[in-house]
Amino acid sequence: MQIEIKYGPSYALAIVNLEKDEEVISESGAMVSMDSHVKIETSAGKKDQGALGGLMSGLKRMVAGESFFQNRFRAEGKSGEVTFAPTFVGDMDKHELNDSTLLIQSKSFVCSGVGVDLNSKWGGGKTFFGGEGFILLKASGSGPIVFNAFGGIRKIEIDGSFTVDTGHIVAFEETLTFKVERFGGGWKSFIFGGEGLVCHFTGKGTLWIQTRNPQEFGQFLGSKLPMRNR
Amino acid sequence: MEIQIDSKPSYSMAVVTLDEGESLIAESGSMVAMSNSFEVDTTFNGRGSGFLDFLQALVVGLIRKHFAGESLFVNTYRSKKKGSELMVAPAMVGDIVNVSVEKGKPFTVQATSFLASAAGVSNDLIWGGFSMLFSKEGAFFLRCRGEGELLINSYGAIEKVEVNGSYIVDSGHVVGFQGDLQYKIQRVGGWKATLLSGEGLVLSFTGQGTLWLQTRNMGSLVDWLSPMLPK
Repeated sequence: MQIEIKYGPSYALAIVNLEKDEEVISESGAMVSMDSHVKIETSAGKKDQGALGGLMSGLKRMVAGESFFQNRFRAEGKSGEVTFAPTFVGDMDKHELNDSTLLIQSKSFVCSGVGVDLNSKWGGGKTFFGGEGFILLKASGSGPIVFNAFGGIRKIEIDGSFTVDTGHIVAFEETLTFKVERFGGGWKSFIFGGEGLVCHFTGKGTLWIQTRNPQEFGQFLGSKLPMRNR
Repeated sequence: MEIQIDSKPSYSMAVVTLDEGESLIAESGSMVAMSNSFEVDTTFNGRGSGFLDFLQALVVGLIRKHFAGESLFVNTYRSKKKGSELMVAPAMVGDIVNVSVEKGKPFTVQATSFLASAAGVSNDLIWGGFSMLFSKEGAFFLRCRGEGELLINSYGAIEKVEVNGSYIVDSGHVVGFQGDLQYKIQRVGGWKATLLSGEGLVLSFTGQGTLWLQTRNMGSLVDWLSPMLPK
């Protein structure tokens, strides 16, 4: 599988080239275009999982803020192309899992190879106060995975410790341990500092952040728009 | 202090590297990520110690809260280690540029465009004039004095214009200016043009200096977007 990402950082598009009979799994609704011989199959779980297993997989993904159904694209008989894009403006990046685990902010998953298993994972006990849906998707196994961001993406190699606003997290390697904490040293900074909760990382590994925060953007723009009836 | 701007011009983020003892003062809510070698303090936006300074800080804060949907507070990040990294970005889409404030060369920035500054830069509120109230934004400016780097943000990209003589800018497109420039707020053309040209109020600059403009206008975006949204 060859993946090329074009048109970043504003309107990134992932172009996936599948080999003969190779498959790629995507978030439902993410497909932009594909060769006509590529077959699409929609299901909640894996092929060998059965109905109940599929239902559980689908529900788990829903908990993580992803779609219940996933799409499986297969280049039948010969190599083929599928392209994917997220709904909102911003960049995408890819990562190759090699018997390893990546944790992804729930809304950021775009597509992955069949060797990648997806499961939900709670962001931690303090998640409830985060207000930013800090629920993570756990991608483990081997193969490529593509994720998207609101705004640009910056890749940060952490060796030691690092702090990130929870609304700016895109993905990070499982080799990093994380704790959701209040911002700043004291309550004053937490209440008036305008940063809310932050994620404190320790260890060694890669972190991807997005340069805009969806919730802050919504609040900023929403406050300027006239009141509407719902 | 070293500044690098990422993801220009649509989703710019400033990556600031600080030496030990250096501080950055940033708009509350603008921190994206940082090394764990900072001391953080939250204060009113405005840094005097007297009662008048406090009042001014409160007024600036309230105005910025009202006009920019921002908080009354700023955060000061003091680096405890050489090479500490701090990343800041505004809530809105758009660009960031860094400019230098020097002794005797203050920088005047639209209140909503202030993102962060070095600790050596302080700011005073400037009232843009009554007529500016009708321009939806840009009724207030911050005059940044002192010495150090200043980070300003925009909606859209930022265009730098060298003015020598006179120049006219739509009030919603001004980000900031520096140098020997005076401005007057005025209607564009006569009353007919004001009402029919769709240009509203403009800032008419005279003198010699540098002007920073944003390629989009927040007020116009709101006017354009609002009727498109479902009721």
